[in-house]
Amino acid sequence: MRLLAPAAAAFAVTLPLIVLLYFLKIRRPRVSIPSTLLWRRAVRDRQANAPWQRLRFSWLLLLQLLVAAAMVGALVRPALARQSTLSGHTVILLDTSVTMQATDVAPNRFALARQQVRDLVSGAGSGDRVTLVELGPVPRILATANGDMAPVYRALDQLSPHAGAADLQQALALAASVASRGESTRLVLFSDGIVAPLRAAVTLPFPFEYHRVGLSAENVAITALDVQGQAAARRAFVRVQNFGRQRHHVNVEWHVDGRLADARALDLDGAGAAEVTFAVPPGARTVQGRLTGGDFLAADDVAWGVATVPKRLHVVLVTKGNVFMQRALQLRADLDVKTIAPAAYHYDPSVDMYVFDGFAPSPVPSTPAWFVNPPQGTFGVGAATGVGLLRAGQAEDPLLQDVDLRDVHVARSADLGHNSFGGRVLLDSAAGPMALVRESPTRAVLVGFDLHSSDLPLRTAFPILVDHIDSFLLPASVGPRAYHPDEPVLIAPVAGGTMVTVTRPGGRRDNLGLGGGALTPLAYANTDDTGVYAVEQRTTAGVTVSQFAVNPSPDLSDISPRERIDLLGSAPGAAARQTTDLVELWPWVAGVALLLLTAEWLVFHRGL
Amino acid sequence: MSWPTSWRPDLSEEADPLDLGGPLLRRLERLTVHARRPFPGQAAGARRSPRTGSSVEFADFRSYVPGDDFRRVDWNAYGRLDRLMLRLYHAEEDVCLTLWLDTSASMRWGTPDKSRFARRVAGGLAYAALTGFDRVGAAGFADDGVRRMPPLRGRAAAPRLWRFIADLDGGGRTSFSAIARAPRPLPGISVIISDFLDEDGPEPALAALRGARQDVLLLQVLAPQELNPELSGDIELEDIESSRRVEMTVTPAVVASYRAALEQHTERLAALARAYGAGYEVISTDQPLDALLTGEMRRLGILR
Repeated sequence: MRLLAPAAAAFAVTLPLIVLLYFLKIRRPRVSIPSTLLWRRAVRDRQANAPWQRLRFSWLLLLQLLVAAAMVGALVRPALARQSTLSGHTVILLDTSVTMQATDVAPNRFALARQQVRDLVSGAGSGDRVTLVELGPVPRILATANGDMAPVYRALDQLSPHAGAADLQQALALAASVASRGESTRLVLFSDGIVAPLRAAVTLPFPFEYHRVGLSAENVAITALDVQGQAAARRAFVRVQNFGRQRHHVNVEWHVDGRLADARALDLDGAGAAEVTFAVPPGARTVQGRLTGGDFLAADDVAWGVATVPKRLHVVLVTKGNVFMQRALQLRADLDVKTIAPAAYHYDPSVDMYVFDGFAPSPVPSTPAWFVNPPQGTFGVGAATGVGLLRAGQAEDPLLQDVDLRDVHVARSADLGHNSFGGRVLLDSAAGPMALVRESPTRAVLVGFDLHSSDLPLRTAFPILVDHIDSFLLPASVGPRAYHPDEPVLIAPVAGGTMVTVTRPGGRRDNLGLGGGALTPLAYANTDDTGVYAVEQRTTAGVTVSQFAVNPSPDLSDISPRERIDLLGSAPGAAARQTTDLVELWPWVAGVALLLLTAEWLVFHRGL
Repeated sequence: MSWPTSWRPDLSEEADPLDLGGPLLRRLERLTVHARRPFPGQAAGARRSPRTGSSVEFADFRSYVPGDDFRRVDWNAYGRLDRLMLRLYHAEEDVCLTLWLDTSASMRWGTPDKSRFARRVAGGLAYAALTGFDRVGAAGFADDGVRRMPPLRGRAAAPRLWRFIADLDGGGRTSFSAIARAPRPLPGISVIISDFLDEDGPEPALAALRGARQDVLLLQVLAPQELNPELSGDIELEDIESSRRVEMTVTPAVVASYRAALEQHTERLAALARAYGAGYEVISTDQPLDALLTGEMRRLGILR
């Protein structure tokens, strides 16, 4: 039920006023009579002389209060969603996002919305058409029925909520695509209104009706779980946030490899947050934070983390002396950097990455490598020329993300215009390419200038650029960060890999084929469950196992139902119309008020 | 019965202030006032006296004692019984009718007005008594005392009596103690005309009048608005006499309770009247005066 004029509830002040009037003396017209003798005898039991006597039970007072309450009830214009108003083609969007698991309505938002859809569909006539669309992370058409609604009911029975966000943009596009031209179509959305932000304004050619589900915003969630530190002293930071308005007391349980290791109690004010630190014991593989204490959404009360110690990587810097490069390489904690002179170089297959500075070995090793200021002739590099300002080779190159190249100068650089290195231009200048990057046959980076001939090493952009290139040359199987449901995870195949298998938290395994051993990252998208995923990569040398965690998105922990769906400012009527197909109840309530008023009149005249 | 022309009352407004009218007066001339029990009068009249006397209506015999009027010896009885017997007759003596009129403020209320109606009833009764050669006295009473006119006799006194009745001042509160404190009237008939709406009741008056050898009749005059109230809603009632106020919400149920209280009140008055050997009657001011005097009063036995 909805109130179309809730402000009219202010008229409820008439109720205490009526009671107050029973306290106050009425200004009565005076009538002179010969004697009050008989009247005093007649009203001996009815006369009220003291204020407290006026509060004795009175049918008139009760009925007057009921009349006033009914009239206020009519003024606020209560309305019910129409149950049997299907006509033409109705496209129903049912939200299956994680917030629909909230239990602020019984049994939960999703079950309630599903029942409302059933009720709506039950009103369909023989000529009505219904299309059911799941509004989940990946919207899809579940069923289309014409007359016989059995397919819709079956699809509803099989539907369950997801752990991810609702993609309304795509769902609306899908709904628009199923609407036939010339057919009377309307769109009905059953949701709590918590959807992924729209990427563009939506223009709908048919009415759009939003049925809000859910009542409360009370929710406490783990919004972050981060394992930090070196192997000897690793710690995990857990952030707990209260998205509601009420104060909550919660317990944070800390599980290491499935066993309870610690617990903390927290008191969180409304909209408050707290961070808790837990120890990660050596040898731990997975950790988990879990909230107990009760709120309306359980899905975000748990978060996972991967505690495996990253593998140490061996890096050899071959240089006559380059402090800038040496310092930049040592900034990464998982790199063991060894610096040798060019004369001491010999190929070692156990080295994970080489950095050749002013030197080029022959033959070029198959190990990922930097080639900085290579001697003339290496990879077809020409003679040094004067340059000037540096610039990005390609706009939005991921290796140049957050790298500020403004006012970065290079005095002299080798001519890379006619090289045999291959790959793409990473750094460019007016005089020609300054740095190249390639992925095959071996990942490598070619920098045409001596770092001492540039002010680049003096800029904050330099360590960022080195870190990005190191990550490119030494890709982890999966990134170290936590992922959110339905977010694609890039898996970097290891060299010589033949098969990648991902094991989901529930135990289900997905095999990802490698296209001829290519090193192109694989995008894995079946991350709709939260928990720890295991990635196994088979090579001729054996199996390497890595893990990543998928945790609920903190963006979905604010479970406050939205009053309306904002279609990015589309003009009502021109772009999207939000109609409310409601049955107003005020005439019935007013009728009840009239009946009560009649009863009050009768009671008055019967003198009760 | 008809009067000599010179004795007919002048029915001009001046002479008939109670607006009784010729037709009613002519009908009243044929009626006489009767007490419900015999009582002695002071002058020879047309009423039977408890004392035996010299009228033609035989009453009893008694033995002769020295000093008796020798003319009243029944010689026929002496011839048969050889004893001197005296023949006794009912004495025909006049009746003194005393009209007690309530002049309190509560009587000046109602449509038709209770005070005017009561004065017209009194005027009619007075006229019937005067034409029957009875003496008639009148008195207005309230808590400030009694204003009284001594008994008059003869129909020629009617206009004077009417003028006295019409000119009785109104005001004050009802007080039957004023009757008790007043000088005793001559033995006869006392008619108290009032609305009897006072706290204390007429008992003091009844006791005093019984001691004065009065045959008492209580006439309770009520307006139709008192018998069937037309009040409703939230009102404040003010007592005309005491200025006492009562706030109330008049509903049909309250009106029913009022009627029950009125009935209880009249029953209590009737019982009180019976206890003192008095008569009691409720009359409404919307009753036709003609029918009341020539019909209702005959039924009550006060007029015949």
